[in-house]
Amino acid sequence: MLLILLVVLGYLAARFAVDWLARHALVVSGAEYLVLGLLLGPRGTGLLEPEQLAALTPFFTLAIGWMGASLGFQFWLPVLTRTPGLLFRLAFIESLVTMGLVGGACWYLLAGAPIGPGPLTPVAAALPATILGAIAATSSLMGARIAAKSLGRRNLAVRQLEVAASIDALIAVLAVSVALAAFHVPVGVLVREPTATEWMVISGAIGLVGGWLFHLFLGNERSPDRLFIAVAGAVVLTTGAANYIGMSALLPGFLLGFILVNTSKQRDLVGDLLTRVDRPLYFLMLVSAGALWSPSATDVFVLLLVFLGLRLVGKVGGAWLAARANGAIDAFGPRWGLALVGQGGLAIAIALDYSLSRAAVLPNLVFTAALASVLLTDLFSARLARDVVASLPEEVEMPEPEPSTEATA
Amino acid sequence: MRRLVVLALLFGAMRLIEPLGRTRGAPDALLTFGFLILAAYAAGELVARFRQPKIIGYLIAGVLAGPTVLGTVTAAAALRLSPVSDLAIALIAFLAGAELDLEEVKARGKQLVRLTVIELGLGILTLFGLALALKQWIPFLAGTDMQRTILFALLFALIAVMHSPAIVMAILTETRAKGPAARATLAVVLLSEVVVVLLFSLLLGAAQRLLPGASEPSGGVLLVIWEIAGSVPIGVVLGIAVAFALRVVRDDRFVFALLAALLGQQISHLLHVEVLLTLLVAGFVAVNLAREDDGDALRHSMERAAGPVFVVFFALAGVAIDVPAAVALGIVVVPIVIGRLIALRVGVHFGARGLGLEPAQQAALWQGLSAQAGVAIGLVGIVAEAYPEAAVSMRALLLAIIAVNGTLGPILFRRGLVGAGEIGGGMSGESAAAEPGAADDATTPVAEGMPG
Repeated sequence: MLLILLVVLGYLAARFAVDWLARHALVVSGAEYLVLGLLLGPRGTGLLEPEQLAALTPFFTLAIGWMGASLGFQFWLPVLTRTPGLLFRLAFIESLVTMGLVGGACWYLLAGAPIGPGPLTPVAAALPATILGAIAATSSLMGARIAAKSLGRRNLAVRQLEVAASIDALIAVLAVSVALAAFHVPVGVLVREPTATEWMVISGAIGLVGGWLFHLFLGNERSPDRLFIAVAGAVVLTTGAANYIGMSALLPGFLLGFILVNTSKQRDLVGDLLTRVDRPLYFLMLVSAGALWSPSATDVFVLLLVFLGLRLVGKVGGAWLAARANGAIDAFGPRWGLALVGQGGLAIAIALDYSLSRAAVLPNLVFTAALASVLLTDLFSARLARDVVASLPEEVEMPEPEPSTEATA
Repeated sequence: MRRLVVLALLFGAMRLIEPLGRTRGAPDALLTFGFLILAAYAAGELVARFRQPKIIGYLIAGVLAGPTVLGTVTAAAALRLSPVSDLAIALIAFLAGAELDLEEVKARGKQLVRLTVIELGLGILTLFGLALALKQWIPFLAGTDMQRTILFALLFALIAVMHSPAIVMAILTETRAKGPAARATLAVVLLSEVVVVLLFSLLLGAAQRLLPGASEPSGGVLLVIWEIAGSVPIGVVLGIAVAFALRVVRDDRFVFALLAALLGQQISHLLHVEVLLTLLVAGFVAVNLAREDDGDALRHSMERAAGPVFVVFFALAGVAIDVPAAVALGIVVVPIVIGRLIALRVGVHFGARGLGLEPAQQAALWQGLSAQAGVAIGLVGIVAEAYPEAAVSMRALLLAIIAVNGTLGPILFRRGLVGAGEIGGGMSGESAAAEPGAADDATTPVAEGMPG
């Protein structure tokens, strides 16, 4: 009974604390759910035993696939084609720089430094390093949204942050899928093992074929209740298929969402449903993450600090580099990358997905890095985003495209 | 038709990727579960065209996809999905408790208790008599001495008389019926749940004194009684906690209810109390004790999310139905089902007098009580611990009876509610899937219009 009381009090205390922080310090976080998970899990009160957590695996696998579908739903082609190419260029450069910097440094440390069970081989170290790089690349939309809300306006800078967060998600999902395809555990019953490329194609096909079939399945359905059941079934099936073949559910979910947003007649309704369920599933995922978290040994502390530090450098430096290379420093300022420091749910989803994978190397380390980064950056990401947006002029002007050589001639 | 073709294509696609994951241990649960949801949804829509409750479609889809027919959902996959089913039933119990209004319980409590006692008493007597009369065709009674026959027949009657809160809640949510018959049915179903389980515990305790079995049900008779009696205070404590927490939780109420149900489930397992009863009480206390707005908001959040929960629960319940076994026991099942229906009709006729229900409302009430679902099987599990030799055939017979009543009951109940004029606006059950507060967090950045 004491344990239960502890759990309830712990949850309520965390909830109060987060509410207070959200009101007074512009902090957005799901920390109370992580705390609840910690309290319920084997490292807390033990109310959720490892077997029970294993039984809950379908729930958080579903949460991962659902998150993928929500991300894919952000890529609506009619709006994408109207978005200035510069915004995408900036986003891609910032994202790739962050991923490359963090992934490369982590690979170097894991392959060369005595971390965890000992230095890994360069090939083995590539998997956790890529996943850490992908986690580093992700950034939360929440900062941009709160900044826009707090300032009472949406300008090009806010738009840039939104595009950057979406591209960060796309890069991260692709990187995780490629990494898991490259390190796929042999199936053992086929005449020939599929290659990494074939695993990627199969993973993509699940999302594309699934998306197309669900588009047909949904037809002209308008009832939110029935639409929800159909969409839920679609996401569960796609997620289950990806999980079954040992691939990440994020990419098929992403493609499913992408097809649905671009083909469905009920785009708004489906989008609304995906968004509404995304949040409860995210919290469920946080509870599970808290319960599953098994802190790594103290000797990975250095790597954790390197991860956090380099991610900050990557985000700020990558964004600066991108803006400078594209002549957009005046438009977005030298430190617009600070607004992308917040991590959000995708980082937790990737870490959870990876830790459930059979191919996972050092899953606890990856998991700890993601949790630490999410908890830490959620504390100040909204404030940073607000400050960045506030420092820019009301009307951000796009840089003039440089005249081509032919035109000059 | 289009949906059936898509389902067939999906089925083919599932078969296509099957070899790619064979070395993994029963991981296909989520995959087949997704297919099951879509199949159940399509079947639900199909039967709704014939003016039948959707849960019939969900059950049929579950039966067809289950291990005894098509085998799409294997027994191992069904086992892996049991936490999903358990959570769904915990949520249904929490919602059912939340639907009970304290004022109504106060106003009509005595009459409802009287009705429950009469309909249950008559039902138990009828089923007991039928079990004795059909003794030679019932494996766990055939060839046993008088004492064993009487005790096993009584245990069987107590379990077979049970109603289904889940089916009643599903029909009420789907039809949005809120009239006197609907409310009385829900109250009696919940009340009878408590009474039957309590009687069952007492009878099993007595049976073990007279007929020592292979082993005592884990912990002995006192623990069985504790399972029931302990559920009430624990449910009250959980309900109070939820009611107070609702003052803080302004949004994400559905996820909060989900967590409360999950927590209630875990606490119940930990303290060895009945999950359903604990959550029923918790839901009742939480909504009636919370500030009015908070209680209503919680109830509405759960109602909106109930549709998908029912699809999941009944589709998985269908998977558990063993069709060949049910057909094989037909000779016993048919008279028992008919006898139970007659007993219910007569019991409600005499028991409902003080409630002031019209004949059509009384008809809806007994038809609502006719439904049965898998909850009764939980009690057979307790019997199995003490008398494993009898439990196997008792479980098979009860599953067969539940299969028939689970299909017949929703059809009858809906028909009864139509007859009583308590269904308005058809069978739409339009419900959004989740929390209204979450709408503020729409995440479609790239899809949003460009500034300016």
